[in-house]
Amino acid sequence: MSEFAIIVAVLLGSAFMFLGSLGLVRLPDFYHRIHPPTKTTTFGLVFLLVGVAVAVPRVDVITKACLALLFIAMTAPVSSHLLIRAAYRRGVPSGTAPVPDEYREACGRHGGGPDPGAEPGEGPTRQQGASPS
Amino acid sequence: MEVVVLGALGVVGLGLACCLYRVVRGPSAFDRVLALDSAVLNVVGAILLDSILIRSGAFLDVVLVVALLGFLGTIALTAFLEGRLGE
Repeated sequence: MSEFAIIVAVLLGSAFMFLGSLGLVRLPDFYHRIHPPTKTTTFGLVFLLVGVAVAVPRVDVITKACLALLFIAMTAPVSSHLLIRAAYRRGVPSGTAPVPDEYREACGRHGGGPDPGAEPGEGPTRQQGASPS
Repeated sequence: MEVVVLGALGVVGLGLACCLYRVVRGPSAFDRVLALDSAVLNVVGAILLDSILIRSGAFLDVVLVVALLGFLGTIALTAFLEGRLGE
């Protein structure tokens, strides 16, 4: 029974991790490509950590697996959020322009300028997209 | 059991190859940073599979440290690329 649970966890985890990395290759532009490693790979790591906790059922191993799970699940959205915000501000071109560009609209509502975090003396470097309202 | 875990290690290695393809090929530097972050997660998965294979919990510390270093590396590279590292 324990063997069966480990095998199921290993198969599901490695399949999700491979799909996440495959999406990194297959998807068209950066704003699409940031989704698979953030969600799918983290979900695969959840299964692998459960597999480790079933394979070695000791208290310290289960505690460390829960710690690793908590840490990875907390840091993956933070790092991808910072990465995609930096990419938007640096003007990484997207294949399809975001039709309701709510981030740019919110920036315009708060300060007038298109980017409240931009350095002074630097124009918007975004190459394409919806025009600011 | 061992065959399944070894096959899963091969699959995770294929995922690592996908990440390295995006590191080499990526059009912007942000793609490369993203692919390196994903490669760190794949390495963590490979360590976990090895830990299942030899039935040892000693590598969980390595998992924690590698995940922490990957997160810090991504944050540092993102701050460098955004240009606000020296503020």
